[in-house]
Amino acid sequence: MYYYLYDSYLTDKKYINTLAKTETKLTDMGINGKINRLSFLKNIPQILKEEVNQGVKTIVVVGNDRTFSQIINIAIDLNVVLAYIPIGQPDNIAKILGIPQGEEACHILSSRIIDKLDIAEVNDNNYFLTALEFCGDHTTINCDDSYFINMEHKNNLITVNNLAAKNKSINGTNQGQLTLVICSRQKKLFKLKENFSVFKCQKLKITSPQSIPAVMVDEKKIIKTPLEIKILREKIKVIVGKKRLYN
Amino acid sequence: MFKETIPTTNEIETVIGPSVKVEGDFVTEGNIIVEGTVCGSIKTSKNLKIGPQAKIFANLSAANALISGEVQGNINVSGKMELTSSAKIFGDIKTGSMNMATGAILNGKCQMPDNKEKTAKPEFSKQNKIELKNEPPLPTAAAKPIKVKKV
Repeated sequence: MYYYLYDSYLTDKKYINTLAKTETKLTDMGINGKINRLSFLKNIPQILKEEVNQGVKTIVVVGNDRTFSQIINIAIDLNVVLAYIPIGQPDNIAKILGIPQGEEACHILSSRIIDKLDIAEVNDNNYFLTALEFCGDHTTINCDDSYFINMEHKNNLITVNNLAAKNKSINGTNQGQLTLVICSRQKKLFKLKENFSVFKCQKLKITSPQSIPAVMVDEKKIIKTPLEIKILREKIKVIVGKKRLYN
Repeated sequence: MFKETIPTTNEIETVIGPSVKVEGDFVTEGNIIVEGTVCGSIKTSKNLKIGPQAKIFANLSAANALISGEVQGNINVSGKMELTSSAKIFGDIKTGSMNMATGAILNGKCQMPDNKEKTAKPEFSKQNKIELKNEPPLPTAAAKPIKVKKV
């Protein structure tokens, strides 16, 4: 039984046509179901719990990456399969999962290739699928409780990757490990020099003398340090496409 | 037709860049490239590359190693080890085989364990000593009488 969650921005004129085509396709394929629209006035966690108790097995998120990330945070404790129909931008998660835009995504939904994905947990109550970014100059990072990483220079961009595309220069595979990438930019004689450091670990503790804001890339949500990030192995079930970009 | 032999970024698991300092026990199962500073210990079951700007104050353990920077600590390499001309080692080395370039500095013991048995030492002690015969001393120039012809 499918349960569809539509983002509120889909009421915009430019998405009406795409949405109508998608709905027609879903009806033709016989995988249509109950539809609910997200809004600030609705208590979505409560609604989803009730629907799951009534027998919903698959929650289909119709929207963009931000919508999908919001639902991941809610549905992580529910034993359901998540599906994603991307309409509009940003759709980076959809690309990594191998799901095309609009009505083409209905074929992925009907083929029902289910994969268990790792998810990164931040401070016990926030979750992200792709990455978390922050700028840290005097930051100390404790990896797996075995070694510390200290920044020697300024202008560092620190990224914690969970799931990333395979063809990127530094990939974060779905192998139960987080990829920590530290990019340091130094100006030397009118030239900008970039240095990269890459570490793989399962658990990270990020501390700094001052509170630094960190951005969860999926949801554009800001969390401040100290951060404790750990990976939850095969935590969510997601319907993915054949052309998925991760390992 | 021909496969690329250059390792791709996917094979390199850890890169310690020049902008970071790592303290503690660094244990991994993948290849490591060190360009920065490390204090503690590094252990890997694969290859280790230490760049010319790297400063290591740690004991190292790897399958193969290419060292171009400064290492203060003991090194244990099971396979091949290569020291380039800019390498500086202050510690003992235990390796399977080593290639050391001119200009590399090594202050410490170097041990290469060999599985083959040592060649047996020939038993010289049981052989009879060669006795040298007492020959008369050669006549010297001073001893010879000088004959003076009378005119």
